[in-house]
Amino acid sequence: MKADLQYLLSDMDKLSSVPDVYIQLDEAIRSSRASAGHISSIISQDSSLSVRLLKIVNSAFYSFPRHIDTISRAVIVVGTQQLRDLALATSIINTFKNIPVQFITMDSFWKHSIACGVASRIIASYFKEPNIERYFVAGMLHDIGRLIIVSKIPEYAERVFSLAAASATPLYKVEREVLGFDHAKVGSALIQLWKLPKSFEEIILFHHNPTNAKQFELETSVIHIADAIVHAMSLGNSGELFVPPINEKAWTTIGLSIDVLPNIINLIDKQVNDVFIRFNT
Amino acid sequence: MPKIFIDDLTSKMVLEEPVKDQHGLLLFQKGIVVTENIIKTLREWEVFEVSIEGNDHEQTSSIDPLILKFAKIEIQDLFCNNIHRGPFTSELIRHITHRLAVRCSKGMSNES
Repeated sequence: MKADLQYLLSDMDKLSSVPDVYIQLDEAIRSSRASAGHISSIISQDSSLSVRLLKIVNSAFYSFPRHIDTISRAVIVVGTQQLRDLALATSIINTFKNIPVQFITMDSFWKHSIACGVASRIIASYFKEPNIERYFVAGMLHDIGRLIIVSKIPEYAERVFSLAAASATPLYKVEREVLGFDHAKVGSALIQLWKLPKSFEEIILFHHNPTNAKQFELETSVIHIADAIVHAMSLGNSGELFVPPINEKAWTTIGLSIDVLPNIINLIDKQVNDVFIRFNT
Repeated sequence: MPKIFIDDLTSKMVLEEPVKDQHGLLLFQKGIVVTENIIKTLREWEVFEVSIEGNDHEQTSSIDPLILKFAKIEIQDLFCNNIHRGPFTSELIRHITHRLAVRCSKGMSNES
């Protein structure tokens, strides 16, 4: 018997919801009220979020020459959209931190997710993207569907993990066989439920098959390549034992010279632990 | 043209190609004899590989062959779901194998 995607998502609002502060920030940015002061006041309402954001903006992520000690300064230096996206990232980790899961360790899962976000952000920085934080968020969320699978239907998850390990098959292929859908489909459905940007929906849905993406092929290709690099570097673990099949066309779509690859790997090594510690505390 | 990693670069080697930084800025002309200062500069500019005259040996030559063999087996295993490898995958495997071999040589694990 196959699992039911609707059941998986049926009470997601009880398990987690998109953070209020993200909705407020998004509304403010879309309206004419997006002054630095207004954005700061929304973030400052949540003191725990403010502390987490200040830790992140003072991390290896940015390497600012001076310490940033106030949210109003962070808004000016980092940018409103960027800070909104970082607020989303840190709030989601916080929301999912304490859900009970088996078969994967949360620390390892988030290390893989954050590493994928860091790698995506580094790759995006090569083509002068104005808001590279959205690549960080997309990379960080790419496997979120797996957390839902292991927490809501552990009996199915156990079978998926056993079969994948025994046959050295990528987890997403075994998920499709056993469940009738994969973690990418679940993650994408969650993004839709949360009413997050459409780009996240498509990136997450096609991160194993980036050439199937219609509107956001470049973004999806970046996350696909970042995921492969991070798996190869063995940074954390989202349950997958091997590097998933790499679609070479994704690298062609990104359009970077292969000469930048060692630099990308080196930058990931330099940033990932610092960023992980700051996101995870 | 085979390249060698900066970790394996030593004085008196000769650059076979001009060396540029990540933004395409020329750092050293071809034909220059490598010195310790040049190696230091390359590290500072985050250049990781250069082409060297007469370099027909394995690029990871300074690493213990046994460690290199171990790293190659480990990484091949990790890429078992990538049988048909294109240029990107092949380069990724090459760099990750070197990274693992260097980390093993320093007594570190694959993971950061």
